[in-house]
Amino acid sequence: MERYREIIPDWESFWEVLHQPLPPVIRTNTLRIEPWILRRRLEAKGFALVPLSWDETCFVAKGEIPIGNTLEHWLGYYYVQEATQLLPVKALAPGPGEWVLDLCAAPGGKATQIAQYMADQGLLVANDSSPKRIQALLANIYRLGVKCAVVTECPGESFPGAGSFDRVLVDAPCSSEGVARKFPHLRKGARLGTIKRLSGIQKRLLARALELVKPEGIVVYSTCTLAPEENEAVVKHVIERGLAELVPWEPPVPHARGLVRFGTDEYGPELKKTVRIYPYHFDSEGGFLAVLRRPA
Amino acid sequence: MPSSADLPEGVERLLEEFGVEELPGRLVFRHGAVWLTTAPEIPEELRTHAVGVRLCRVQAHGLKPTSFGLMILGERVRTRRVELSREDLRELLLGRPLRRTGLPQGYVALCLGGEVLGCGEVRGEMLRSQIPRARRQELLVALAAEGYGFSPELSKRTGTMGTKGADVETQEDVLKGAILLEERGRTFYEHAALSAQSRGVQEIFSLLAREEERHKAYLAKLLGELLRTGKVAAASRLPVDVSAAVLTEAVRREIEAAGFEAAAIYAGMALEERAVAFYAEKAKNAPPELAQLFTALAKWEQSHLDLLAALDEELRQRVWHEQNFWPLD
Repeated sequence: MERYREIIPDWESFWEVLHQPLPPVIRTNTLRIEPWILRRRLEAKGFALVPLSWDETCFVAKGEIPIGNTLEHWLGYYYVQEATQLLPVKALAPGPGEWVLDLCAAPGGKATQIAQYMADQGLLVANDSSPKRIQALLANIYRLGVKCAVVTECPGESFPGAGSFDRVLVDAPCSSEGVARKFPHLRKGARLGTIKRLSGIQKRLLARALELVKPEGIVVYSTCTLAPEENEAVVKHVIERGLAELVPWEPPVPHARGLVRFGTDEYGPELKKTVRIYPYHFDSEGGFLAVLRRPA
Repeated sequence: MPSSADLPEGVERLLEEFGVEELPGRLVFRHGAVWLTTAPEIPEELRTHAVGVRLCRVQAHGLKPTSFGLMILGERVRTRRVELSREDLRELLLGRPLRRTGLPQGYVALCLGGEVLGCGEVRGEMLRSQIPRARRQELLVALAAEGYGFSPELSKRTGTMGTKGADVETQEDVLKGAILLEERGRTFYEHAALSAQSRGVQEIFSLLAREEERHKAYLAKLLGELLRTGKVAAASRLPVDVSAAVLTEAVRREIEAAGFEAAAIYAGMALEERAVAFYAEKAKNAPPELAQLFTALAKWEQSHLDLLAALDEELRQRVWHEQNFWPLD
């Protein structure tokens, strides 16, 4: 992580928070239950629930038993989803009746969140390339009772069709440096070789997503890593080729703007429209997201 | 009601049997199953695994409703509902049939507190669960964790279960609370041992169940002494803790990552954490003869916690390194 010292505005806070446990956050599955009813049920079981100030369907949930081990979780009334991971779908802002593609959907947290935003009306294609991960995706789609979802298994880079979706989410496979609070061995940062390899995959995924979305449709690109090679460089790649334009998005939480440069790599001022989340911003994981529009 | 002419025969009859009058979506037939979906159309070029939620499967003897299908229909299922107590549900989840008279033959909706949990089947007088094994195990863990969890309210009750006033905790109250704690631990580990697939993990859970039973027996003996004589002797001969030596290489190799074992280990850790906290707190305020015992029990439960934490770490590393896991959500 040392290589990020120059780009992280408050390095001391960043390093300190990496050593603190992550508060458990749950997202109410509003397709099945009202947030206040869920809150009442979990509080009756001894959990302390505090709603997120920027999303009242979500709670920091603390209790003496693991939050994933309740009847309500089993019934699909909520999904345990880290706070930063709630943002890409907020940025995507899908609505009822739309056609939406989640290109790298497993294990299904964001896909089921998209379904909520769509009020379970429309077409949600939840795709993943890994058969093993598809099983987790299916389990969550079924558990949360998402009826508008069609689950497909296809490498994202070669997903069939063209220009048919209103919105596409590319929550790309990444080196996961942003989740070092959960997995302490990631504190040392990812290998550069891994980052480079993933960056190539991410560029192909994003380029394909921009072919799959309708003209003027929205694509959100997100990762849970801090590596600029997997974030700003990927976005720059598609902008330079005229495949997309960046759309400014103001998150409802403290954040930093995307990098203009890193080391000797220049990304340009346009990349300030992207968003970086560092774990100290609101006691969460780290991540990156960009909102892009396909030209008409 | 069924909206597609391509549906297999019997779908309408099945829905009528369950009293379902209106569907929250349309039905499509794919992959040998009937699916409930709200998707308006499905692009033909897509190779699909699922289209919404699978409502029923087509089998040789007819249609079988799925547990997820019944769950999503929820209140729309008006008939063939079988309300269960938590104890009955636990038996079914452990794979043990229940003897019930007066139930309709065939598939039924298993319910708890009015909420549909999944599919059951009645044959003769025997009721069996048809909830998939993995889901059964998850629910067992959830019920065990909830049942043995101390909510603030429950903790209060546990601490003041005697009849000598709500604010004064007697030695008798403390011992009763401790016995209850050990009993909960024993029951949890017994169920976990029954459900675990890995033999090594089964043995660990069985061993922990036996240890909790020995704790309980010892505490019960002290309670009997207290009730007979009005005092307890200093705890001099505590049973030996044997848990530390059981996490062998063979066991590590056998652990089933991401399966029931992972969830049970996690729930067991929460249980032990509470037990350590309980005994440590009671030791602070207990008379010397009990304080010694509670300190020893706190250490003992801590050793269980350490064992489970080691198992948990083993799983975590395996998931990360061997299963190509990307923690995106």
